[in-house]
Amino acid sequence: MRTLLVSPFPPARDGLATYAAQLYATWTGEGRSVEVLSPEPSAAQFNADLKTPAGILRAIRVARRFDRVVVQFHPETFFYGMDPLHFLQGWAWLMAFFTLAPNVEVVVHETPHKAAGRLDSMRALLWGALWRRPETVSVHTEAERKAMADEYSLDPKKLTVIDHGSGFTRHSKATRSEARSSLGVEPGSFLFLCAGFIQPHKGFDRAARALGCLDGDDLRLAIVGEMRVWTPEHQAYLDLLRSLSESDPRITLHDGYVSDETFDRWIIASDVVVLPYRHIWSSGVAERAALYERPVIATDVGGLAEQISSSSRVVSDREGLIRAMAEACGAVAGSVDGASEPVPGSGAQATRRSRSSSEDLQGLVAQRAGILHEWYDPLDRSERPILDVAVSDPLQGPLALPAGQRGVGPKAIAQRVVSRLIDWRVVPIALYVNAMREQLLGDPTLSTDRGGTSDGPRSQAAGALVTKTSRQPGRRRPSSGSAPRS
Amino acid sequence: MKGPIAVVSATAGSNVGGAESMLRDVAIGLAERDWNVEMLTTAAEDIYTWENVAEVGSRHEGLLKVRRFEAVGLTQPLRDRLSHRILAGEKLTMAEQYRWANAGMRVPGLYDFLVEHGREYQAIVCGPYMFWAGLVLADVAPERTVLFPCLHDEPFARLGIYKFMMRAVRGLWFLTDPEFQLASRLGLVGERYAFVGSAVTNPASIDVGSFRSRYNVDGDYLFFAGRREWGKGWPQLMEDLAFAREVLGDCFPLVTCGVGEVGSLGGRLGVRDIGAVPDEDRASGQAGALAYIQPSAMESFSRTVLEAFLLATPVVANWHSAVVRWHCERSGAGLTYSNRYEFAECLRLLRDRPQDVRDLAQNGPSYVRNEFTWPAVMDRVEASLGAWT
Repeated sequence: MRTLLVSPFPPARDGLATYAAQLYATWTGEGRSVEVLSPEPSAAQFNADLKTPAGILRAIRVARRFDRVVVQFHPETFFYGMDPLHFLQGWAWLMAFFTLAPNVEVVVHETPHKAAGRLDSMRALLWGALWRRPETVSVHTEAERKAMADEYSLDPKKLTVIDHGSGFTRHSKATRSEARSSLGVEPGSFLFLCAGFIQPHKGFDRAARALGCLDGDDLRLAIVGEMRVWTPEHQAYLDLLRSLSESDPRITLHDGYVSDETFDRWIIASDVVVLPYRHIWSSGVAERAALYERPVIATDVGGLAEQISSSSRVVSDREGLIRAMAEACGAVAGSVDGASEPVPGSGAQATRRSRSSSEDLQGLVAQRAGILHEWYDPLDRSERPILDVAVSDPLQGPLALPAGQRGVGPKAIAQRVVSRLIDWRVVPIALYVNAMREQLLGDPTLSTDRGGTSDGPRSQAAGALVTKTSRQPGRRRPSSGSAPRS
Repeated sequence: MKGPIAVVSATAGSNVGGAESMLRDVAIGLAERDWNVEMLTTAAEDIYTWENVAEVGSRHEGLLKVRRFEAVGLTQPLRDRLSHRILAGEKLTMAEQYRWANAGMRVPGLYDFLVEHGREYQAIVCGPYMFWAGLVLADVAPERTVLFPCLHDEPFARLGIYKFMMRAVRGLWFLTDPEFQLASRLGLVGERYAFVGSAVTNPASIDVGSFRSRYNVDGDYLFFAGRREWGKGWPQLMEDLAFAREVLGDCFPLVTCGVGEVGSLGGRLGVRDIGAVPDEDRASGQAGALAYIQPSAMESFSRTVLEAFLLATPVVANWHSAVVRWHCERSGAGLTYSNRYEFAECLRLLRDRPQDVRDLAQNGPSYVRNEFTWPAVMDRVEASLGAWT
């Protein structure tokens, strides 16, 4: 049986490529006939840009020469973006591929899901239709299987769970002392390791902040990885990690290219691998830690709890992470629950007269909320000023749409028609722009000082337009048709 | 007998907003003080549908003579289209602004009546500022109109038609200082204004046990009474609640009464909707709650927050409402939150240190009794009526 593996493939700095390479090595080692089609030129036998119709057509032509096609699925391989236009384009090409290629088996590494707030009901329907098309769909954990079945209304029998690490092989034969020596890690230190691509959702900042709560000069945290893609957000996250490492000499940041061998050497050198992810489906790093029998401390997201071994720990919050790290290294946790420090006047001895004032409790709420904010979203700066310098109004006033044309002339009619056609897109954009302008200038004449409680002004601005106008009183009643009196 | 006074309200029905409810209370309060009061309102009883339910015409209801007119509904597409432009920050011409106002609910019969009989009243009290009748009164009887703007910060408050209206009428009655500050910033305050405030009263009866059994409510719960709509912060509350559940685990259920859809997220969160309930049940629900939640950023008085204060129920309120923040800070009886993190931490405090939060709430009753009682409000109302009309 001839198998075509569709996946990113080395040489590439990509976890999926590494995964595919190991799978390829395993399958060919077992004597199977396997060839690879990658979305970029690589060491694979074929390549085709799977985001384009031409690439998909080429992939279909190639696939039809094989008996079985195994797709390692990640949205970035098939979609330019998840905005409606690009989503629909990508969906259509992918549906064509799943329909026309023979015996397609899909291994899902990540897909938009409700928990991440990236799935509405229409998209859920479309994704569901897509996942029903292949012969089989596989995920790495039972949690992922349940989530996919629930969110896409799929028959659970259609979904299978495969061991993420089944094809993993060791890249390094170094001993622990050799690994430490080569990486400059002191022999007697206790090393926590955060390794992987530098991305906000990896939550490495959580581990750095947790280490700050532990006493012990011999404790170390190494953050090892590189930015897979450059975006302002990724850069800001790297800067955050850099500032955290500079604030505590026990933390080192090794950002840059890491070979597979070096990556494994870091795992060998470590005492505990920390995976404080904000969200993830499953983790290849957890599998590599297991390969070298290193314990893992991981947050309870996606299928991680299911994936890691019994000697590892799953935590659900900041305090849990601090305690787990403290227990792992035998350190004393300093301010594990700093936010829970008693406020003046509270406690058993507190009399009614000296009971916690609203200022005390409000201050405690703000202090704890700051910690919570860091735990969930380290880069969110919505509560802080964007700029602390004077700025001029880039728009010279709020962005306004042209006044509607009155009259019955062809020009006025044409303008009204165009306006009706584009308002639903243009008006929200205008609102966004005005919200940004307001945020930039702090212009109190534009709208509420701070209109809502979401993470930023944009969601409120959108809500102001889309939701409020859809809830004007009388929405459910058709117009009576009576003419205005004045 | 003093007067006569007309109190003009969009509805005297059961499913009303806080402004309409307050206007009715003021009308009754004046009648009790020997004023000849007539309520001019619509036959509609639901501010969502504006469906004419009651009988059009005049009749006595208790101390009040109530004259109802037919409400004419929305011209929806035009209203929506112009609303979008206003919300997008566009400056509409005055003609367009009037077109927008007239595309909302309007009461042509009331206009005719006021043209004919407006001068017969010593004063005409109207509110809130977005009610169509205010614009009519600014045209036909500005010299005797007193407006309760019930203003909060929103793009509509910046329309030129309302600036004209509020400066044209005889005087403005404000409910709170933040409302007055906002009106001043927007240039809406004319020569005469007064802080009359508003009031809440002790509920007729409180029976938490009966409330729990009637609505099958067990254990600790959070409570929200009001309209489940964007303007009241409901969708954001659902998101904040979902986040709090993620952080704290399965914490307190939310019980809500009032109108509007709970929504799909609310359903998934197990929000308990007991629908529209009698005032006594609402008060009992508030009294039994671990905390009363006020998610609205657009309040001009926030009657339900003061009712919770009066019942010594802890309040957790949206910091973005200047008025509610003002109440909480001055009373020391409530906590505020400005984002989902603070909301979650407020709930954590309720879970971990309920007694501390309950202690805070003990500041509430005295705050309300000292400042927001009907006798004090009616004294101020009568004083300004005497001075202005």
